[in-house]
Amino acid sequence: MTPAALEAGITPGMRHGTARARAPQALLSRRDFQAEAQGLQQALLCLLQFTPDITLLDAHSLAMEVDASLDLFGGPRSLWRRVQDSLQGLGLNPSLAMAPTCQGAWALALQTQTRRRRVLKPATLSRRLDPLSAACLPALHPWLEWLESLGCSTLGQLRRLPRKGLQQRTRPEAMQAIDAAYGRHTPPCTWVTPPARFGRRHDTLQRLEHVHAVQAEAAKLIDQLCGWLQAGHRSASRLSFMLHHEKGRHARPPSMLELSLSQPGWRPDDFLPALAEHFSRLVLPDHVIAIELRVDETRGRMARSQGLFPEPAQWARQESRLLDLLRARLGEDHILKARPFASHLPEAANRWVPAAEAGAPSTEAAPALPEQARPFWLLDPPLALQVDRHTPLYQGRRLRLIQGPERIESGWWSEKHQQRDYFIAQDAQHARYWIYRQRAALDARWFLHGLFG
Amino acid sequence: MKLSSSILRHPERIHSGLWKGSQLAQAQRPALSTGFSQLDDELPGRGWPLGALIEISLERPGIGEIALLRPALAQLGGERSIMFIQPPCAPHFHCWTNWGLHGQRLLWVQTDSLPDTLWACDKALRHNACSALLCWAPGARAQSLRRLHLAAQQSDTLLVMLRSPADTRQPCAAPLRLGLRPAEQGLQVSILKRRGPACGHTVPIVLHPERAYSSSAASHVSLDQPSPALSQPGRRFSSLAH
Repeated sequence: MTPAALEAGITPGMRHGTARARAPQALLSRRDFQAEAQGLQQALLCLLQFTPDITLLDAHSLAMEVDASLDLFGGPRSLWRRVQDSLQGLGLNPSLAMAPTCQGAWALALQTQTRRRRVLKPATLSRRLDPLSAACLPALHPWLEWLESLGCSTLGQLRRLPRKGLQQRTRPEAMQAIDAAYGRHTPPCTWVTPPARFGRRHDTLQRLEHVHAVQAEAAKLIDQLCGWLQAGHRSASRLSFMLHHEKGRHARPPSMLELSLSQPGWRPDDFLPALAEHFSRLVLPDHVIAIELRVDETRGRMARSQGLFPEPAQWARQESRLLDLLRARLGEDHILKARPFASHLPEAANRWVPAAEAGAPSTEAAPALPEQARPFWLLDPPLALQVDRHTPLYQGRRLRLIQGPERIESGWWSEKHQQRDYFIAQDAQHARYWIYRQRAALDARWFLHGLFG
Repeated sequence: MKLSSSILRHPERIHSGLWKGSQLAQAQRPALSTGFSQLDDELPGRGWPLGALIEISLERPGIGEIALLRPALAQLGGERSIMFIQPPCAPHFHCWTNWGLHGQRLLWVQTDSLPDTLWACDKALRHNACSALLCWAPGARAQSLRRLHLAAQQSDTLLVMLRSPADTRQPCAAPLRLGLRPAEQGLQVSILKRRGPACGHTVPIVLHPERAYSSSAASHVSLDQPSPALSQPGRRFSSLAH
C-alpha cells in the first residue's frame, strides 16, 4: 500500500474488483509470505553482528536489546545509522525505533504520527507514548472498536481509565502490554538462537546476467554470514558459493566459486576484497536465478593483539591478505616460494612451489659456495649455443672462458645421466655467463645455463 | 621580506625539503646504504631512498643488477618478504643462499600481462607487506609509473623498476634513475636523474675483484690439461687458450 494508492481512494481490506475500479492504473501483486519470511530471516542474521539478543515479535517485527552494544558502536546515533545502513543494504525498508522498553519501541515503530522515534529516558517515553493511538500496541487489536466506542482513542486516555474495569473487560495480555510499554513491568523475552550451520540461499528478483549484480547479492550474503559468525564468536576461512542457473528445459548444474583465505576472518572487510577479485575473473555461463552460500567449518577466533608498534604477527597478517588478493586474481600457481631440493643438478635443485602450500622450510641447506660461484638467473631449459672455431657463441658474441671447470655429474642410476663441465664465460662487453659442456657425447655441445645478475 | 644571502645559500634551513640545483638534496626519510661507498657519495641521503620509485635501465638481464642491490637487500629486516614480480628468468635460490640472504624470504610472482603486473605492484605497495619490491614491466607508461610512485610514498618499501633503455627515453616521475652497463670488474653506473646536480661521470662498481694471477693480458685458464701446448714456430694457438 503506497501513499499514492491511499490518495487514489484504496483502503486496506477492499476487494480486488473495487480497488481496480477506483484506480485502474494501480499494480496489484500477490502477497508473497515466503519472501517476507526470508526477508525477516535475512534481517535477523544481519543484525546478529550488533547484538546477540534478538527476539521476533511477529511476522514483520523484531526487537534487539542493544544496551550492552551502545558503547561499542559509538553511541545510540551511530548504532542507529549502522543498523539502518545494513538493513537498507539488504534491500529492506525498515521502520526503526529506539526506546527503553521493548513494547514501547514497537509502538513507536508502528505509529505514523510523529517522526521522533528515538527515546532514551523513561520519562520521555511516557510523554511520547501518550498521544499515540491505541492501534500502535498490537496486543490491543481485538478491543479497538470497543475502545473507539468508549471515546478512548489515545494511549494516555487508556491509562487514565480505571484499572480494575479494564482488567475485567479485557484479557490479561492487554494489561501486560500496556504496562510493558510504559516500563512498569518487564516481561521476559525469548531470544532467537542462530542456526548451528550456515547455509543460506537467496533467490534473486530477476535473472542476473552481469557479474557486478551477482557480486552485490553475494555481498548481502556475506553480511549475514558475519552476523552469524559474530553470534557464535567463530571465524571462517573457506566459503563456498553456488550460483544456480535456469531450471527446467535449459537446466544447468550450478557454478561453484570457492573463496579460501589463508587466515580466518569474521568481518565483511576480510572477505570482500578477495571476493571482488574472484568475481572480476568469473565468467557466467548463463543467467543466475539464485545464490547460495555455505560454510562447512568454522574455527574459534584468535585474539588480535592491539599493541602500539607493529609486531611480526601483524606483518604476517598483512602479507597473507596481500597473497590472498594476488592468488584470487593471478591464480594459485603464479605465486611461488623456493623449496630447494637436494640434487647436484642446478635445475632440479632450484624448485619453486606455490606459496600456499604449507610446509616447513627444508632443513637441508645447500652447501655454501663462494659468492660468485653461482649465477642469479637460471635459464630453464638450458639454451644450446653455437660454436665457431672452438668458441661458443651467444647472440653473435664470442664467449671467453675465465673460470672453471666445475664438474657436475648426477643421475648415473637412471637414463638421464648428466655429466657436465661448468665454466664462467665473459663476452666482449664484460657480461658474465654460466655455460657448460656435456662430456659424454662425442661432439661436445655447449649450453648456456645462467646469467650473472 | 628580503631573504639574506646565507639562507639562499642553505635553503635546507628553511625546510628540509628544499635544495639548490647545485647541491644534493637531503633525504626526507632515512635511506638504505647501497654498500658501495662511491655510489653512496653520489646519491642524495647517501643511499637508496625508501618509499620512492627507483628506475634502473639496463639493456639485457644478467649484467649484475641484483648483485648491485644485494648489500641493500641484506640490510632489510627479515619480518617482511622480498617480492620479484615477473622477472625475466627464474631466480636461482642457491645463489641467494651463497650471498647470505637466506634469512630473507623471497617470493616469485608470475603474471600473464602488463596490467596484472602493475596491479600486483600497486596492491603490494598499498598493503605495505614487502620490504623490497623488484618489478619488470616492459612497456609500462609514465602515468602508471607515477601512480606506483605515489603508492610507494605511503609505504616504506624499496621499490625498483628495471626497464630497457628504449622505455627509459620517456620522462619519468621517479626521483632516482640509473643506467647500468657491464664493465671489466663489475658495472658502470650512470646516474640519469637525481635530486641534485647532474652527474657527469659514471660510477664504477666492483662486483668481482680480479684475482692476482689473472691480471695479465694473456690470462691463463686453469683447465684440466695433462701438459701445456708447446708453441711451435709457425703454428697458431687455438683461441680457446685465451
